[in-house]
Amino acid sequence: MAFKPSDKRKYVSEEAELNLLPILNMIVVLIPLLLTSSEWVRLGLLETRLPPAAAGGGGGMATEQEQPLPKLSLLVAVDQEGVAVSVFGATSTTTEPGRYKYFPRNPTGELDFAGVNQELLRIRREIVKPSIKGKEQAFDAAGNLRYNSDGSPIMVDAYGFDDAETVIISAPNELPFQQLVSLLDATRRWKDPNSNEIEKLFPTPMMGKIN
Amino acid sequence: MAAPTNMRKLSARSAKEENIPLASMMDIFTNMLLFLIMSYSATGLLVNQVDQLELPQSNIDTSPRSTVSIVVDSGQLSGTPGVYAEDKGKRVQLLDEGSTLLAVASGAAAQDPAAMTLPGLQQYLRGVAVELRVREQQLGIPFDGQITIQADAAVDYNSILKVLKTCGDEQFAMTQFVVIKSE
Repeated sequence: MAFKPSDKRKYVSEEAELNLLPILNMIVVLIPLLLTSSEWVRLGLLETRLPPAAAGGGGGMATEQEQPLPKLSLLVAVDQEGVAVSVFGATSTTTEPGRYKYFPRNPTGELDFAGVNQELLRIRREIVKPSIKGKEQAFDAAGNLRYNSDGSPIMVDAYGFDDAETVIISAPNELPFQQLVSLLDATRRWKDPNSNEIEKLFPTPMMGKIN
Repeated sequence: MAAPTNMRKLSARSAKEENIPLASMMDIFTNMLLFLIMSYSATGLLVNQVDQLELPQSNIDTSPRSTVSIVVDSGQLSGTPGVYAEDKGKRVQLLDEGSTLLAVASGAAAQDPAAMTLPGLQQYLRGVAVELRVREQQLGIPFDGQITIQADAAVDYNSILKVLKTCGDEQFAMTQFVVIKSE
């Protein structure tokens, strides 16, 4: 006959308490450490290049080419009324389509960075990209071939234009630096609003002034 | 054996009741810890932002490197416009006064290359370039002509061009502006 414990007997389960003190000690040490060493303002670097004529000894690349490639001559010129984007040296009087476009300022007086960004994307896709010649090994500033850390060569796109990644910026004297940076952002890349994918535009700005 | 006194019974009971519930505090700490670990950057800051300088915002994703560094101040926040040498987030030397920086040449003077050169900055960079060349020869650290510029968001285009031209003339052709990442 099976033993049946008495119904009157009560089992009191012992409450097991976790010892949280070591974890708490660790967290109390970790939090101030992370708080003091965290980077709250994230700084970045915006690289620019001077036009070759004004550049000193630090930069510049000596490349020897048998046949000089054609020039894209992409110019983004800011004036009091807006921004002009032109290629192949086109001006407002140029009749050839797709070579010159002017973006007047918004009613609030702001420059139309989004419009400039779209136009540069068009130039990139319709004018620069079709003339791509494949890949070639990259050179550094001293003209030496570049390699990855594993010894493999760094390959870059070889374009049909000598200045396929360069944009020349011209602006009035009083243009604030923040607007210049926003303009450089618009010329450097295009972000797809749907997929958030980033497409490279013209990452090498050269700043000058048209008198 | 003597029975415990009333006082001892009381102290034993109060010691048992002193258990503070730590669960809620643990929750807060765990959340804080997770947030900090997620937002923590393992790479240290190589550039210190100078006080009283409103840097422009950009969507750039390149991180700062440690190079020769200068500050271009419009004077909007500090009240003292000019070009300064920078070290560890501090202005260490005034190179060019605000009047020199903000001056705009017009007419025939605008065609003169000297009008676009900042003399104080030129002299400073010349000295730094000599030092870096010596270091290159003695220690083998290559001089790559890089310079970091912390410019105020309100600095005008003409001043930026002057700084760029002066840097380029003095072998610092690889200029980098410090910006605040907005994305």
